[in-house]
Amino acid sequence: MLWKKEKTIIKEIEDYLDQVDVCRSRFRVCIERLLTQPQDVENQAIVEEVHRSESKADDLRRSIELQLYQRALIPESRGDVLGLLETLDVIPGMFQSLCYQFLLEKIVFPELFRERYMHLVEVNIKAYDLARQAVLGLFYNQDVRDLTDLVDAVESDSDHIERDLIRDIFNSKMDKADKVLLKEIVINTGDISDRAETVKDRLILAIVKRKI
Amino acid sequence: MYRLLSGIFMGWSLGSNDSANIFGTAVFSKKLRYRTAVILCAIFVIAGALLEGQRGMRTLSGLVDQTADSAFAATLAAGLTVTLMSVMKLPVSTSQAMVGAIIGIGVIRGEVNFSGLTKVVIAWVATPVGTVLATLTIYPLIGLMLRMMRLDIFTRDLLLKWGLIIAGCYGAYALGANNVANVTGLYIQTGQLNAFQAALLGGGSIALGAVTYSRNVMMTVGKKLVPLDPYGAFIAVFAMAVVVHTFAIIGVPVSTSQAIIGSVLGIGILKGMQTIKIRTLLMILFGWVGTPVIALAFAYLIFRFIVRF
Repeated sequence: MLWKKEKTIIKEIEDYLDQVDVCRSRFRVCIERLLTQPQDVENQAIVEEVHRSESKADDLRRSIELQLYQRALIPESRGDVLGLLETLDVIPGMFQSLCYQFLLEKIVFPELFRERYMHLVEVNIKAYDLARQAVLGLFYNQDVRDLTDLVDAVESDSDHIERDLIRDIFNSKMDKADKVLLKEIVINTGDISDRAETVKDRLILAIVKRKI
Repeated sequence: MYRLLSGIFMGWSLGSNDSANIFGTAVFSKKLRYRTAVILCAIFVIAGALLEGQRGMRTLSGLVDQTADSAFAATLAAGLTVTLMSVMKLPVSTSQAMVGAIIGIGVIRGEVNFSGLTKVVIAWVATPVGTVLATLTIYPLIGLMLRMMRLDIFTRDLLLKWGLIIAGCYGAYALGANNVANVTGLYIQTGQLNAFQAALLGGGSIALGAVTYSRNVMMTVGKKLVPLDPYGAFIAVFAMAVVVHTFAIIGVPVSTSQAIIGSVLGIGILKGMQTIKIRTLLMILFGWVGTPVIALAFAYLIFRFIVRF
């Protein structure tokens, strides 16, 4: 039921989302390593891999934006697709920033909190995965309501974990400066699911606009 | 031949005003370029006028026996009324202006065919009512079909874009078929034009109005209708086209402005009454009463003090 130019753009969006997935996988590996081996000399190279995958995703997004204009799509679909991609594209940037933050600020997570922090990372990655799946659903005639509901639930989970973690960090006997650094890391990690929720909100708007 | 100029003027003012009802939404929402819209409008208006415009001409001619002078005065009065209303940015019914003008002349000459008039007045009320009913039927029906097709965002938007364009072309055809009678219908009775010439001149002058002076009204109407959402706009134009075309088949000239207001009201009923504005309803009432009265007054003055003088 699709015309050729629309088909090409959907293929490019898929490629872009695949590239963000690569960035997401490298981010996960990178954070795990930064938590367990914060002093390893190879960490720099691993963080650079996250950066490269983020840059590649950025390039793909820019190319899609150009395609959306050059291929003269209907302004309505173009506006919604552009808005969705730009909102989603903040997430790989967040993956990259977190890795650099760990590396440059020489963050060392106390063993006591590592597992809980990694759980927070997993929950936020899940929020991204769900938002990504929902965005793709818009191009494949899928009912995405269940997915968008799940994004909400996961974001809410993330908030709880985030608050508990910050509370426990400040209840611990760490240096105050370290506590503030860890708090920032926790908040920035939780921002990923907040952004996934914003993607979901934009997606719902695009769907509601077309509801009959 | 100068008497034909009032018909051309009337057609021009009709085209510049009523083409907005047909392509306003598509142009304002950038689904169609203004230039393409007016070219399509011109082509389909002329096609409608030539193929199905003659029935309405017979109805109008039957209201009052016309002479060349009275046809000139009636057409000029209706044209002036439409232009005045356009300047006042009010929705205009050219059909009502024309009928008001014909009655104005009939009053002076003491000869009005009231049975023909009843048919026309019933049609005025039936137009918005008809489009409300058409919208209430078409909206859920096509909506159900679209939902069953489970379209992706691009295909759905593309389909609606083409829907709006096709509905617009159909609307332009219906406008030509229905409203050409207002423009040159009277010249057939006076023997100045034959049916084909009247349809060609009428359709051509409506097309000229659409091509040369419709941008502003098109943008205004588009702005008013776009908040409906693309699907609502498509249904509004389509329902309008169906009703106006139906009246063209019956042979009664009606107003596309009032037809489209009926469509918008229909969508308002479906989507929640809060979208219906009292101002819109008052405009319909003003259209029913004000337009023919003003045209009647103009025709009376023109015929009594200028043409007869």
